[in-house]
Amino acid sequence: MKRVLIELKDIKKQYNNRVIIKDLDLNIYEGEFLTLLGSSGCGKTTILRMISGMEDVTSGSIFMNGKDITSLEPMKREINTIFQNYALFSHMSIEKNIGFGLKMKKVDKDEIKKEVKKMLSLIKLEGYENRKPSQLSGGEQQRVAIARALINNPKVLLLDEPLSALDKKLRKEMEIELKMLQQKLGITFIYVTHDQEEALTMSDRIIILKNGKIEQIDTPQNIYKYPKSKYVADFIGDSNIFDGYVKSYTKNKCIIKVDKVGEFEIENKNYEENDKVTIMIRPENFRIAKKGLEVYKKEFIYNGSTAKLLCKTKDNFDIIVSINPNDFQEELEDVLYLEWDKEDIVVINEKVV
Amino acid sequence: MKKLFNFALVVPVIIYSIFLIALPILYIFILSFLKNDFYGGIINEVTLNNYLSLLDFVYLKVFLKSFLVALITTILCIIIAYPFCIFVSKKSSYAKKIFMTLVIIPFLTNSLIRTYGIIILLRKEGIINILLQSLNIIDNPIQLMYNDFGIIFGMVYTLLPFMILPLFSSVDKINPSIIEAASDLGANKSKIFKEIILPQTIPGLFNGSLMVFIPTIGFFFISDIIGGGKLMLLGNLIKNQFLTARNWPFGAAISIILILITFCLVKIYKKLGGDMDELGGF
Repeated sequence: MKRVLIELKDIKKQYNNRVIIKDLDLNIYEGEFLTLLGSSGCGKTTILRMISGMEDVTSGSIFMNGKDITSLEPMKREINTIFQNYALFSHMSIEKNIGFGLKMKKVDKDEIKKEVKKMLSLIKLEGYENRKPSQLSGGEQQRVAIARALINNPKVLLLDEPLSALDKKLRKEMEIELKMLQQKLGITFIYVTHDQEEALTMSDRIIILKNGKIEQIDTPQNIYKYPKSKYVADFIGDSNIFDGYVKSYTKNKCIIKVDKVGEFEIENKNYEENDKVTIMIRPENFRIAKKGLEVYKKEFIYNGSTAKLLCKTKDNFDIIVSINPNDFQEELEDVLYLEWDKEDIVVINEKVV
Repeated sequence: MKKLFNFALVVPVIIYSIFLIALPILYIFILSFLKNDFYGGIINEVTLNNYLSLLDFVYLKVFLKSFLVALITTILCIIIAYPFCIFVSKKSSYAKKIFMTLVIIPFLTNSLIRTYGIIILLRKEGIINILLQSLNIIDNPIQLMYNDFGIIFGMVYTLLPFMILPLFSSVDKINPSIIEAASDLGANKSKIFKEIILPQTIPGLFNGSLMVFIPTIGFFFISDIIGGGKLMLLGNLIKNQFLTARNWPFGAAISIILILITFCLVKIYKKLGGDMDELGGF
């Protein structure tokens, strides 16, 4: 059983009269990589800043190791933050930057030098002691920012969209590097991002936020496979979402009718006739077959390792289908038939009774 | 054709710089090596006497006193301006505009008139004395004018905006997340100032100091009006030589020295790694 390190209890945050976060309860485990994911303005950075202490909570409390730290000063929490724009001290050398935290703790100078050296080798920037931040590339600056935080031996590292300023290739590399670093050190990482790919790649658990409320907390796989709401399904990955209603049902089966598309058969979970049901099918769960749902080819999107086909039904409902990238569009007929397995239909629990 | 047009655009500035800045300075420079006659005229004879007579103890004392007043004024301006700039930089951009407008508003009035205004505050029957007496803090009015205190008060009051404007532009440039990062790494308020804010605002600080220090040496009317002419500063000395003693070459020599001092201060700033663009930029 994993040990709870940080506990947020009934947190509310409000600026002037605008409520940013409401009724937030959250347990963060020791050594996990937790990602707060949401579009801008969903309150993810605010949550991070409340944990770090840079932002007050309006009401509620934060516990760390069972101790109430709600009103503890940021510098007294065993938590460090990596900022979006690195926030390196431009007038100091890399050595001074990394050693800053220890200098503030009045650690002996030789000791600081030794620790900085260790950190530099951890982030693979040996010999960079005397350079200035402006002489480093974006990725290197990011690593220095990480070293500057880690040198203080924090129990928790907060990362506020740390990769958003990097180009895509470098970002992919850093994602893996960060994940490996986190596993090596065993420190809890709380990561804020609006990039769902980043979240899926790195996290042990993902929290999807919407308007200051938790929409879903789960592992990346479960979030992808079993989104609990339309919002989550839409936010994570590509999805085909169908709003329908129960046309007929038996004890075990239930037929969902979706306007402009057709009918889907799902397992019956106490549905009754005319209940509104939203179902979702991922693009990769469609197969092109000889018969099935009739769709018309609209657009072919080639992505190298993957390819997608934008289609529409007879009544102009858009459907996105993953296909083998080697199936070039010329070989595809204009009229296609789609098949799917019953198990791949995800019923989204948004049934309002 | 386009080149010619572009050149025409800078002609006014060139004319302005040559006729109103370069030539007068050149004139003063040449003047400082000439002799004056008894009636205030100028004799076309080259001499170094104007500079040599500056080595007289009386004049050295004026230099020393001027520097002391300028230094104290500069330091006081720094002490007042820093907290103000840091305070304002944390406000919204709308509030920043209002605060900086308030700083600039006194410029709309002539500084000579404002100096007379200071008298209303400082004199024996002035607002400050009346206030202190009615609050029973003092029994008899205290001497606030016609002394060093009054002069420095006047200088700080007049020159504070020249410190605030460049310093603010430096302080405001600091990324707030850098301050947060320092605090996150365990720096308290005084450490944040010493380790982050101060080193990051050196250009603004030096620019402001220069803009306060040099005018303090030259602002003769403040020591004339508030100091009652008792304290002779370099500015008073220059004014006296030109207007009262009518020894223009000697006045010119002192002015040249003042220009050299300014020049040296800028050189020192550059030597210390200062950026000339930052110095001119606000």
